[in-house]
Amino acid sequence: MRINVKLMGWMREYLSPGITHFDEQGFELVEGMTLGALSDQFGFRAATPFMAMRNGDHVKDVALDETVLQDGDEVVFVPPLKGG
Amino acid sequence: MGWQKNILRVNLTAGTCTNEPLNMLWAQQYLGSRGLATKYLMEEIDPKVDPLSPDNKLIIATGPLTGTIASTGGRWTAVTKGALTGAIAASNSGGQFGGELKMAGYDLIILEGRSPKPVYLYIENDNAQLLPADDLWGRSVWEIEPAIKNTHNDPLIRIASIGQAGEYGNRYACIVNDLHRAAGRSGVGAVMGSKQLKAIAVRGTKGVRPHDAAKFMSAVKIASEALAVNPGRKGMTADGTISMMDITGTVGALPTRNNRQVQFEGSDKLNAKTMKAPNENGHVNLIQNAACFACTIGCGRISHIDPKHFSVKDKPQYQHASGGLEYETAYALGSAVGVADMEAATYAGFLCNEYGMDPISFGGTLAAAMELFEIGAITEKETGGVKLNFGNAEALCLMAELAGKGEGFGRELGLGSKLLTAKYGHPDLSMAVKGQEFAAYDGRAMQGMGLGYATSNRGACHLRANPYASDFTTQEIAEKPEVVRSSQDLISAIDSSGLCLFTLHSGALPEHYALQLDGAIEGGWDLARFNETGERIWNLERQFNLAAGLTAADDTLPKRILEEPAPSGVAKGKVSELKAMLPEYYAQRGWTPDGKPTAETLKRLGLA
Repeated sequence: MRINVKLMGWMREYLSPGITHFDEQGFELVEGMTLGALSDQFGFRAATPFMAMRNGDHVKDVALDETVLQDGDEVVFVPPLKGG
Repeated sequence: MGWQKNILRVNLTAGTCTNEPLNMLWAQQYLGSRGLATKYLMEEIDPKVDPLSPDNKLIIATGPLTGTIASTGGRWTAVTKGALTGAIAASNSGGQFGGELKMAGYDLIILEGRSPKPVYLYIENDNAQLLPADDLWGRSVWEIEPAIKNTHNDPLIRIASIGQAGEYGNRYACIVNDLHRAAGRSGVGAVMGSKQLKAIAVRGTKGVRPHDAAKFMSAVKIASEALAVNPGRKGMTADGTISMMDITGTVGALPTRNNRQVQFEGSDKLNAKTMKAPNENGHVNLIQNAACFACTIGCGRISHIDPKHFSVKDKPQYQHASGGLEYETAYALGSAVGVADMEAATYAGFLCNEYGMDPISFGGTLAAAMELFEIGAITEKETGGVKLNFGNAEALCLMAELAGKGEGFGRELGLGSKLLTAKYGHPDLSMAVKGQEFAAYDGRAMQGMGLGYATSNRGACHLRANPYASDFTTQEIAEKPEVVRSSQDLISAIDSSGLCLFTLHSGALPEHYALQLDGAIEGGWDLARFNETGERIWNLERQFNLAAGLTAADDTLPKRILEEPAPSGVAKGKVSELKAMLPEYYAQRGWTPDGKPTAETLKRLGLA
């Protein structure tokens, strides 16, 4: 299945060092993958607090591992951005 | 050391400049800049004074780290009773002026009285004098900075001045330094104008000595290296604060059309990507980033406007490079007024710098006026024939000029949204706290920010609390009172140190501030003392406001944020839960249920 993943602000800076290429559109996933597992694949949960959104709704941290992604989902990761 | 232990007192009524020693007991208790100047103001004026009367004082203050090599050590603060709010005002600015003033040998300048004629203050190290400003009055910041430098034949003079907005008493007039940095909020420029003081021009060559040079240099190295490797710092350098636009736009925390909406369909025309990309004419808005004195972040933007854009096509004087959009200006001159035009927002921002007015309060007031126009409370009769609908970019540009000069309907805009909406019978349409307009965050999606706005001592402000990480993680309110209270204290201390708050957003740890202070000044500084100093300053500001006549009833948000559910975004259907958070906030502060510090709290902080 394919989803779209958007990294807001400087979330890209928190990607695991091993990830050298990241394509936001049409991200290929295995069936049944959770949002928590996807976060871990990127290395986010070990690196920083963040906000995850799925199809415009905030997914709380405690619900990340229960949120199974579906084909066509739009996922957004927001870093702990401050100020302005 | 760190402090220069020296104050310049300027009596504008008498035309005198005198030096006096800094009260070192107060310096140890209130540190410098925002905190120390507030202590002097509290001691020297009646908080009930009319902000624009000669009895109000204006204090220009540096901190102990201002003028040092500590990263961002160039900050200064204007402290007074605010013309916009009637509350304590402490407006912080960067640029080069603060470091120059400190190196001229001054911790504070206390400006009192009112000059019978327009003057400017000229300082060259120990030589301080008031000089006639008759030929500068009526001219813009951009005209008088080069004029003063030419007069003294010294291009290295640093200048903080007011434009026409401050002269005519625009309630949100600011003090602009180095052409496009500003002590922006609460109307500190209107106070300066009321004193007939046009500018402060400084040349300082004395340097600043730390208390323990080796310890200080070691601490600066640790703090600077933390910034160097931090992802947030890298983002600030690369994209500036405007990168927030995509975040709030996506989450639904972007105030749009006077907070009628929380997402703006044109936000992608106002973001970091658009700022860097060629437009249809091949023009790129952003030229480069810029840093203030001693700063290793460089969040500032230097921009120029497309010469073919309607705003400047017949005005070559606005086609040069100058201070570009930050996130707050992009909101206030963009989504707040429903205008999705980066060039128009940049032009209106240029005018705010040139005439010396706060773009946040100008945009917020114009947004309120646009809503008044759309509901028919004002018409083209009041606006001088201008169709003041949301989204009208031409009206935005015209009104920025008129509000800056105090002409036509612009003079009414200069009242600020609170007085303007009250005048036309719709006070609920002012999106402000204590009379000061919202910054670029909606208090429904960001519950902590809503509490931060409501409890801010200077009115709605994004720089008084640091609930961002919490608000972008959860909408649940349980942790908000503690997050807001503790960050208010920390920021009060940072602002009083002479460093920039954005270090906190760029990888600095709280202990880094205390570490650097411990090298720069005597007295023994650690994080616990630093935080307690911040708490003391916050409570002192609160005492000023209570003495000025403000009450717990002023710790509130507009009806729209408390009663109208957010129409979209992560907080769709929700309102601010301020009333549930406020009692816990007061309790954590050691305040009574009606928002007054208890005797025990005051005693603990040395304020009794």
